[in-house]
Amino acid sequence: MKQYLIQKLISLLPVLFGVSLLAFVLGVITPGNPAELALSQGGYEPTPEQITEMEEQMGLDAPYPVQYLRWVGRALTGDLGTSYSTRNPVGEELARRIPVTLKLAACSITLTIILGIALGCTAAAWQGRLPDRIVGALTNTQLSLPAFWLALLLILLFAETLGWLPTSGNGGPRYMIMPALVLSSASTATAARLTRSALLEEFGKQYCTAAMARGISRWRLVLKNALPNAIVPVTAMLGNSLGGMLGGSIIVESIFALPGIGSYALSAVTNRDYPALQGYVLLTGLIYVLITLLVDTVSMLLNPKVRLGGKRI
Amino acid sequence: MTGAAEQQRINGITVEELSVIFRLPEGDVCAVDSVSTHFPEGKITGLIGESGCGKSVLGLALLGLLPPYASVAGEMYLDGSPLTPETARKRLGTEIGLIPQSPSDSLNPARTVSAQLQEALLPLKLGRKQRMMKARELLSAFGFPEPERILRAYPHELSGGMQQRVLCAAGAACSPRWILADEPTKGLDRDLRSQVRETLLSLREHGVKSMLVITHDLPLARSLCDTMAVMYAGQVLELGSGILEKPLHPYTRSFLAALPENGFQSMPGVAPKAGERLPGCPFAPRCPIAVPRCHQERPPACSPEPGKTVRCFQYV
Repeated sequence: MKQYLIQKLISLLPVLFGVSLLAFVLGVITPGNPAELALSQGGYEPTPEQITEMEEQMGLDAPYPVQYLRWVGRALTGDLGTSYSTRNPVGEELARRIPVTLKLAACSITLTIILGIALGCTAAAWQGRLPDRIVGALTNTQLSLPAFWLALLLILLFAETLGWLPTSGNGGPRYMIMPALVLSSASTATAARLTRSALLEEFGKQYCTAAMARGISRWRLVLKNALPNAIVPVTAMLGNSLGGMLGGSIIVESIFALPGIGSYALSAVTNRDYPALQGYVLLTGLIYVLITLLVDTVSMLLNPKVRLGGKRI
Repeated sequence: MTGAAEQQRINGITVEELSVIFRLPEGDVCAVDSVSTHFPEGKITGLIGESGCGKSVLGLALLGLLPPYASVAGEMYLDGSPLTPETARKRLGTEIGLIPQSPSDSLNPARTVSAQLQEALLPLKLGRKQRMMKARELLSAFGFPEPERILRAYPHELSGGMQQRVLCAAGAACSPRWILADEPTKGLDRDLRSQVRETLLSLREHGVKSMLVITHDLPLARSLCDTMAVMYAGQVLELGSGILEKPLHPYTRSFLAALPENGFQSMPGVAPKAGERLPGCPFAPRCPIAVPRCHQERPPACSPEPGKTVRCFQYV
């Protein structure tokens, strides 16, 4: 098992390299001279001599591979450059914002896991009957409602009309309810559908017939027999969703005014703040790679054949 | 109905005009076609026939375990009381136990033997400790000298023969009166096949009185079964004891002649496709002695010898 994990880790290194290369290229291909941009903040127009001096200072006269290696070296020590718009170090800015995104992602994935699997189990247990059709209609709605629209509807209902929840901002748990609901909505629906179809596939297998022949209840069949096997594809899907959530939802963070990395990326795009964007791309890429490793580990632990190896008694 | 027939209907499993139709997107497939038959109590009945003749479907229909897209018509009785999917479920495990086909697919790969065996013991409503003890006893009774190790194991850690014995233990866990063994030797080698035969015979020591063994393994059927039913294209064509020694139906004769030990004579023609329903005898297109009537009408059940039922016009 350890060997398997090490293999996985090694196979993820090229991905990490690709992500860092992409982030670096993003900085290179962007229009405008970074040296000029760095000097021209606040309406000041630098002279060509000043620009050349700055280019040398920033190392922009070196060949690209050298620039890349220097950039990676700095990134490894946490130095992701300085934001054009705020003049603050990008690394510090991201570190300050990531806890908000982490909190939102943790709430959303918890909701997705609990609601998605519960809905999927209900639908599969009553396949073709009323509960299944209700879950089908609900997940259809969740998948087709755009997040911003759902967010506005929730704000209208829970904040404006009922006054139960705050409209926006970052504070106690009450501030997380609506953002987490919106962010988890589509992935809950996907998880529910995937759980349902995976369960139905398991029901058709011989071991489920054998289990039913023991006179067990419907719930025992679903939860104890089919679910431990059906959960494997769902885990992979949940991992992908978690990756997306940890990347920070630009829409949800903006609507609910949450200072996470998603809203940071949005302001970086509007301000053409390339170092900030580079830092964001690198961070989310790293998060995805780590999530992939996590998902592989979890799926492996769920399968006793892999967990215990192929040995015989 | 006469007294004797009534008595016969009471003891054992009776099937009357049972049809199972799978409603598939490609069209309806009739897997069991108006079968009326009786499996007597206290005996081991073999339900034999080629793959795809509907014998496993008939077995699953008795247990009420067909998938939702199967529609079942006709009636089934256990000792005179009707078997519907609802009532069958209450009897599962306690009155009728199943030994499913293909052992490696019939154990849950994600659960330990202990969890699955204890699940089979749930109908007995024992306490946790007693259930654990009973599980241990069952494994010892089915030839595991070290039950503790087996209980902790996952199915993939067991050999095919061990998996089969675990499934037999689970099927017999609540000492049901009936056991339905679905293709118990399918995919097993010869040594394991004889082991399965011993295990099935030993079920009688666990309170199992009667058995329905669904198989196309004729040597197993011959050595294990007291009486036999021959199925072809969803219908039971011949029923009774000594069928393999003295076959009456032309299908049974051709079937036996096609066995390797009887000279491998292949049967002319092909079996009707799944879902194809012929107006007459299903075997008529391949039958060497068919008369025009065979293609038009269903032959009735005849009893040319006591204790034997055969559906063929030559005995009318």
